Amino acid sequence: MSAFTDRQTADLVLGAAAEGEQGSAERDRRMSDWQRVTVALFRIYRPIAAWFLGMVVVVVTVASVIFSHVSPQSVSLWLIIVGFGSKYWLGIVAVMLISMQLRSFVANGISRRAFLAGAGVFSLLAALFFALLGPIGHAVEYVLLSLFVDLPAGYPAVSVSGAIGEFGHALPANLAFLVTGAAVTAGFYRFGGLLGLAVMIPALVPISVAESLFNFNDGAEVTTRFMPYAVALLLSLAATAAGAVLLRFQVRDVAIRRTAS
Amino acid sequence: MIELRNLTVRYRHTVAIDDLSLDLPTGKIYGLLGRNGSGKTSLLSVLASFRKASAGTVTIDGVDPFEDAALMAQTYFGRDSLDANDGDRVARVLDFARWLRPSWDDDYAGRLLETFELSTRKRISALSRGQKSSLGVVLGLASRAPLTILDEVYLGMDAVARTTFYRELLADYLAQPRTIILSTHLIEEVAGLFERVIIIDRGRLVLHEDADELKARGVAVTGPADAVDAFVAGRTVLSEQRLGGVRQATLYGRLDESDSAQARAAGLTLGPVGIQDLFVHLTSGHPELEAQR
Repeated sequence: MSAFTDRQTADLVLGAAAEGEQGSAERDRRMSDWQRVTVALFRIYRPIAAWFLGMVVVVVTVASVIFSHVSPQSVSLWLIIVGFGSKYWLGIVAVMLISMQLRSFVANGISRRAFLAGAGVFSLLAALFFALLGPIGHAVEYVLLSLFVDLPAGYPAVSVSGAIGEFGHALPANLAFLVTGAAVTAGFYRFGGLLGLAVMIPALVPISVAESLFNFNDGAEVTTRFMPYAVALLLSLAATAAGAVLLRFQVRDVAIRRTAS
Repeated sequence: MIELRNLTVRYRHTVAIDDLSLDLPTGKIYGLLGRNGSGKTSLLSVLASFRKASAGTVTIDGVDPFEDAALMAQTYFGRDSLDANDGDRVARVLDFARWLRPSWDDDYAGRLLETFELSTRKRISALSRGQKSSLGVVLGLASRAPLTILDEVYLGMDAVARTTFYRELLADYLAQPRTIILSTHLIEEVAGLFERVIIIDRGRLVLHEDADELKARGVAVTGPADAVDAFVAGRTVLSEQRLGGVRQATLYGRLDESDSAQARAAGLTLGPVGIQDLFVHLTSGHPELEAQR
C-alpha cells in the first residue's frame, strides 16, 4: 500500500504523467549547459528567496507599526533592512553554491566551467533583483506610510535620482558579497583548513572594498565615502572582478569532494 | 575506446595510481577489483572528471573527458557516498537529474523507485545506508549514461536489494547497451555480470582480462584426498577444502591436455574456479605484477 502511494507521489514529482513537465523537460534538453545551471538554480532558490522576502516584509511592517506609535519614522526601514539583509543573504547563497551545489551539478554531468558560467549569470541576476528591490520597496513604503502617517522631513525622499543612487550603491555591494562568499568557500573546499584561511585574505578584498566605500550615513541613506561615486564604483567592480578571477582559478579543476568540508 | 596512458594520481606524498596504462573497449560491463586503498576510486574519479590526473592521459574516443561538456554529460559516476545534500528530499535529487541529464529516463526512474520502495518525500538524511545506495542505483541506471560508473554502490543494501540491483543492471544493460564499470568487494556475488575484469593493486595494474579467460587461469580439482594430494604436488594451490576423504583444491595456472587427462585418469573432477579466489591470490602478499592490456 505504501509503495503504491509512493509510486503515485513519484509520478507526480517526476512528472511522468504531467504534460507540462514533459514540455519543461524538453525545453531543458534544448538549453545549453550553463543555461540549465542558471534555470536549475532559480528553481532551487526561488522558494528560499520567497521566504526571505516574506520575512523582510513582515519585519518591516511590524517595525513600521511600532515606530509609528513611538515616534515619527525618519528613516526608511525597508532601505536599511533590505540593504543590509539582501547582501548578507546573497553572501550565504554564494557559500551554498560552492559548498552544496557544485558537487551536485558536476555529479549530474555538468562541467565546472558551465557551472561557474551558469552560477555567474544566476548571481548577476540575483544581485540586480535585490538591488532593484531597495528603491522599489522604498517607493512602496513611502506611499503606504504617507497614507497613514505624516512623514517627517528627515525621511529619505523618493525620487528617480534617489532610486538610481540606491540601486547604484546596492548593486556593487551585492556583487561583492556574492563573489567573496563563493571565493572564501572555494578556498576551503579546494585547499582545506590552513590554506583556505590564507586564501580568505584575497577573497575578502571585494567585500572590504565595497563595505568601505558604500554604506549608510547617519540619516540611514546610502552614500559613498572617501571618493566620488564613479571612482568608488570602478574600484569596487575591479576588486569584485579580481575576486571572480580568484574564484575561477580555485574551481576550474577542483576535485569534487564527498563532503563540503 | 577508453584509453589510459601512464596515468598517475597523487595526493601529496601518497601515490594512488602509479603509471597505469589500460585500453577499455566500450560497450561492456567491467568489474574493477582491488583491495582497500588500491586506487579504484581514484581511477574512477579521473575517468568521471571528478578529479584531474596528476600525470598521464585519459581519452574517451580520443577526447580528454576532463571538463569536456559532452563527455561529462554522458558519464555517470555513483560513489558509495551519495553525491546529494543531506537536507534535500529524494524528489529534489531526482529533479536535479531530470533537469541536467540529457538521457534521463523518468519512467524508468519511477519504476526503480517502486522496486526499491523509496519514498520521494524522504530527506536524504533520513534514508538508511542501504536506501541511499538504492537511490544511487536509481540515479545511475535511470541516467542511461553511455559511461556508467558504479563505485561500491551496494553498501548497506540487503541481499534482496542487491539481487534486485544486479537483475535490473543486467536487464537494462541488455536493453540499452553501454559501458558499465562496477567496482566491488562482493566479487563472487557480482562476478557473473562481468564481461571483463580489471584488477589493480597499490595503484598498479595487475590484470585486465576477459572474465572467462580469467576463470580459465585456475581450476578446481575434486576427488579422493590422496589422489588430489598427488596431483597438486608442485602446483600453486590457492585454496583447499576437505570433507571426509574428499578434498577440493583450487589451483592457479592453466592445465594442458595431458594434465587434464592425467587428472581424469586419477578419478579427479576438474571445474572452474571463482574470480574471488584468483583475485585473492593475485593481490595478497607481494606477487609479481603481471600487467596485461
